[in-house]
Amino acid sequence: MLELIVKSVQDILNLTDKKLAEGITADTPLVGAGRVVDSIGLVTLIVDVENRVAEHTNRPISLMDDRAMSQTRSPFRTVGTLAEYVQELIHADLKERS
Amino acid sequence: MNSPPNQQRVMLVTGSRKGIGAYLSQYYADRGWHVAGCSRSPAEWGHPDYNHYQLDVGDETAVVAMFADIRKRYGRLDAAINNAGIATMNHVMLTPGATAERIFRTNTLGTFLIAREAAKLMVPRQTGRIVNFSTVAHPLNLEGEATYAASKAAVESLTRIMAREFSPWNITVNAIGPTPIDTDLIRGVPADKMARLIERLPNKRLGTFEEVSHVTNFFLAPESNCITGQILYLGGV
Ligand SMILES: NC(=O)c1ccc[n+]([C@@H]2O[C@H](COP(=O)([O-])OP(=O)(O)OC[C@H]3O[C@@H](n4cnc5c(N)ncnc54)[C@H](OP(=O)(O)O)[C@@H]3O)[C@@H](O)[C@H]2O)c1
Repeated sequence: MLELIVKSVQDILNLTDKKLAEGITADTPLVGAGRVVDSIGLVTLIVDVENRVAEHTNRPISLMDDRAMSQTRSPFRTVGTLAEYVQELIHADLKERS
Repeated sequence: MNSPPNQQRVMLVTGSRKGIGAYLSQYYADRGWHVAGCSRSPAEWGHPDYNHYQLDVGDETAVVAMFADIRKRYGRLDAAINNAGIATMNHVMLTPGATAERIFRTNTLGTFLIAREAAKLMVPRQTGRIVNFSTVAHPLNLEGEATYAASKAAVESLTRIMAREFSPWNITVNAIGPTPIDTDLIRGVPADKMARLIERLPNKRLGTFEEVSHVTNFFLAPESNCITGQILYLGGV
């Protein structure tokens, strides 16, 4: 999952010609100080990740469900927390179906 | 159901079983588009370049599933026409809450859900057209149409704000506000009431399907890339 998110962030940065001094890792921030994408970039990232996961798993997922909105610590803090969150959503979806 | 070759433009038309939605679906399928349509009942007509989804636009799970299928089948969406709509003609004091809720669910929530999912499919290609449906009943403040007009006023607000929010991806969002057109939607309106309504229009006659497609053609045209957030009323309103 981490790989999928890193690739998505890279593609979005490529669109904006933004160059990062170091590569994208799990610690790369997506919001707040040092964030690598602006607010439009974050929306593009969320939609792109939803599209990629849907292609991958053949199941539509929504990253902006009530759970994401109600968490005190946003799952969108870093590339790593986003990857963990997407993994959780996929597991929850699998469980619901079984 | 046919799968279009990948370069064929794909359009979604909601409320395509009958009325304006059926007309627009056939119009664009005849003109090289692949049209995906939806309504709560099966379509009453067919076309080699048309396929039908049976769902309620106010049902979020069903809407998301339809878009997952459109993604899988076509991999793209170029335009979405938010035409599905219902009306009620009644005095506010005689309108049950359940009726008001149904109107808002279809007209307002339905438009919101379809536009949201359509935009998500348009983001990767950084282009798209969304056309919503309002009505002259809103600017004319027609008595007897409070819930219907209010649900469409909300559609106009969504149109203007979505136009701003979606513009970074070159997705335009506009709305058309037709005058009364002879479909099932207005068949329940008593003749004298309709005559009085038409009397209030600068252009004193019913509208036509062709006048609607003239406006959708304008919004869909590649040259309309910077026309967004606009509400275009017919009949001189
Ligand atoms: N005709 C007019 O005078 C007029 C004037 C101004 C604006 N408009 C607007 O134009 C649009 C089309 O109206 P029309 O005159 O063509 O109406 P219509 O003949 O009554 O057709 C409405 C269409 O919407 C579908 N629909 C209704 N509720 C739905 C839902 N919850 N989910 C999915 N589909 C649904 C219906 O199919 P199912 O029943 O199978 O779902 C039908 O295909 C509406 O938005 C209306 O407000 C019409």
